[in-house]
Amino acid sequence: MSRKTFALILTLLVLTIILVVVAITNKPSPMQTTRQSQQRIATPTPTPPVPGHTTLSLSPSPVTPLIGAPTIVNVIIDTGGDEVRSVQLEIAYDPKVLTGMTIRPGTFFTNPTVLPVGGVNQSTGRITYAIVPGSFKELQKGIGQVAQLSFYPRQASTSSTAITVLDKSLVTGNTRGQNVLVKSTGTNVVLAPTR
Amino acid sequence: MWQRVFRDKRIIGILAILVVLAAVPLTLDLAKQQQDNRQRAAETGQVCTSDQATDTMMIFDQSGSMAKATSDTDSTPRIDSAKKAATAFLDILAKRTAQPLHAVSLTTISTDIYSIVEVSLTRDLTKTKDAINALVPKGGTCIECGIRNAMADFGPNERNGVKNVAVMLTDGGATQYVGGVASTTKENETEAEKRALAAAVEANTKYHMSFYTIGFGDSVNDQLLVDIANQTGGKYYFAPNAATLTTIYQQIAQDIGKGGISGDVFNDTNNNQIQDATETGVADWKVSLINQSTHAVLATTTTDATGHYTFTGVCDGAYEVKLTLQVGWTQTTPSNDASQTVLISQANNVTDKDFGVNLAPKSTSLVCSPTGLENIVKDFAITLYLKDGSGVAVSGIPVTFTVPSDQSLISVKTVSGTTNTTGQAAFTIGLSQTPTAEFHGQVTFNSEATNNYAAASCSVDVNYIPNRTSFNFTAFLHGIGKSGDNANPSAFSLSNQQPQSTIRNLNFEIFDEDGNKKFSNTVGITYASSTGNYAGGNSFGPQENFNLTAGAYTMRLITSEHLAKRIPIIQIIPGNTITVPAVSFVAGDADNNNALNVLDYDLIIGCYSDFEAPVSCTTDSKTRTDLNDDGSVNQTDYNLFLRELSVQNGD
Repeated sequence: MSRKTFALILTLLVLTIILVVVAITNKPSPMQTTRQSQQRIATPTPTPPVPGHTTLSLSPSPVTPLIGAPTIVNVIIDTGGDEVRSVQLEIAYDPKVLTGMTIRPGTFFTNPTVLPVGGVNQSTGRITYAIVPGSFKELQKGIGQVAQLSFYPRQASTSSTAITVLDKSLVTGNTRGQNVLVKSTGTNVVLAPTR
Repeated sequence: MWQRVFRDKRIIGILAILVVLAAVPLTLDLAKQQQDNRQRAAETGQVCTSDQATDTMMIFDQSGSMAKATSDTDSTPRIDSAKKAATAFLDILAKRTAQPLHAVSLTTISTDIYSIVEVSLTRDLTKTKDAINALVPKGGTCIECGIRNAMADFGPNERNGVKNVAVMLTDGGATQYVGGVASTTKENETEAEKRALAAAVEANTKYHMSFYTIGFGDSVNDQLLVDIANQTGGKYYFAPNAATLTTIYQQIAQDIGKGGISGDVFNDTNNNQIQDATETGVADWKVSLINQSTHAVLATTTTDATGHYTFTGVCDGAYEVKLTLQVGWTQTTPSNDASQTVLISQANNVTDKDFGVNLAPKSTSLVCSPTGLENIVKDFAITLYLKDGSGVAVSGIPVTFTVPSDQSLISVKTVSGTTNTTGQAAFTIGLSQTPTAEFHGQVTFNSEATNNYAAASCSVDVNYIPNRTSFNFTAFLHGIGKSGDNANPSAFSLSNQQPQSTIRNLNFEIFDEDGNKKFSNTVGITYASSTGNYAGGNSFGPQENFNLTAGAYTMRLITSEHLAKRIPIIQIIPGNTITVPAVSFVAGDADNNNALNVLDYDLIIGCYSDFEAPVSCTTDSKTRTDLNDDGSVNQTDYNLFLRELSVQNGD
């Protein structure tokens, strides 16, 4: 047998052994398996908190009563980007100082409806007043006059008195049954000194 | 082209190498297959890897009866048929490859003086064959003589490290014993059999000798030969004719170089896991021989009339012997239905691998009547009824009782502690003294387990409940039934008369004069169309922590989606029934915060469906805003809500 033939046989033998070894030891790469497993793991998406940005305030603040005419104070709503459906005002004042208190709807809602709740209690100085839009579907946002207060000062015995918008007041937002009111501000009524 | 290919030596060389390379794995594969086959053959036990050498005592009947014809259809003298079969047996042993070689002695059974050792233990089997062929029938049948003479020769000549067996052939029963006289009286035969068996057992004790016994012909004493085989770990064969005899000898020749396993299956009537003298074997029970490693079933057999079973021809190795339980029986030993494990080494014969079985006790049921004693203030009679699974009364079974140690107040008196012919036992239960507080206890009765019946039990609740106070409630829900609404409570024509929720929960809280909550609980109230309201109640006592003293209290009532109501004054006298004044609940509190406001309005509007399908109404919101509970949220609910909002007379 020539050297060439022997070399050829030897080469074939080595190749055969290499191929057999490769075939026997070939296993799936653990790295690939790990990657596939990781891809199946879903990352939970955090649920964003529902925002509430609406504020209620009384304007002007302070307010100085006019002589011989009713004093007007507006209830201003600033939705801060919220869409709102209804407002329930809970307002307190001193009935010993202010009298003839009335409340009526403002211009914020279209064709507003006043729900038959509470009203003005002249003896306790407590106002519960609920205003909803004429349409069940209406949603409003922005800054506007939601209601208007009107009153007279009694014979002044003190230099000033507060009208407070209580925290119990409610403003319903886009999500049904949810209050989006975050802040309410009253006003101070500056009275003339007693002569 | 092919001619050129074949002329080129280099190509031929490469092809040759490739053929060799292909042949290598092929050869390795074939070699592996052959190895598997050898292993499989060894594991099945069909072919033993080695042949254990034996020292064999051939005990051969040459009594006068062996001159008789082999059978009705074969006039060949029995002794000639036996000689032919026995010499064939020796021929087989001579061809076996055991090392050292098999050795055999030959001793005859005959009258005492004729029963002799014809050939002392020798490896020269030709000599033994010649001696067999020279035997002539004569004398009686002294089996003991044959065994003892064979033993006398065997003792000095046996070899260490070989297996000892005896192959004994006879055509009759024992009629004589050593030192006795030949007689066919019953007493003589009984004594001869007893002594023959004792001699065989002695051989087994001294030399671990297993007896392969062969009964030949129609006048054989089977029982003696069975007993000898069973008590020495051997096996009994019956040969009615010459052909069967030859087959039997051939089988024994195959088996004596291998091991054997035997034992008994007995009726363990007292469950003590031991075969007592009065406990007999059970026939026709299936026993399996299993390879411990592979769990393959190698052989099965059934127990004989005495409950005995035998496996012969077992190769060296580890085995399990398993009993197949028959319906209605339990295995008492080995416990938990376990198998017997057996190790066969050097072809030994393992005996006494026994199984105890017992008919499982019948299931029973014990019924207490009554099962509970409420507000016990005196002795009550308790009757117990014990029946088996078929409903048949079980008599004569003792019944005992147990009372928890922390319930010593309970007093039980035994009236009749064993079931009578109708399966009844009687007790009385009372309290040793009147309890000072509510008491709840239990007495358990147990019928004893016997060999035939399983245990059973039942229990009786014993209660003493003082001064429970009952409350009855009546609730009107606005918009439902006959409650109308706030604008005109007496006008209920628009109210829903058929609410969907006919059962509701009513929470109630009781406060003392200082406003401290003293008790709270929940009762179910149910709607009745006849009254148009919801009503219900319950009783409460110390078990529910109801410990109010008599006096005036305030009660607050709450039910879902309605404003809470307060009853300013209610007189409570513990132990009495309190009828709480009817309450009319204001509807509309959809968010259950005990207030009506725009939040509730907003939820109602969200589910309002008179004009078009609502787009922001959940199932839960719909349920809570359907104020009149008629299945839809519509103008009726809206109007009701506005009226409720205008009044708001809740708590």
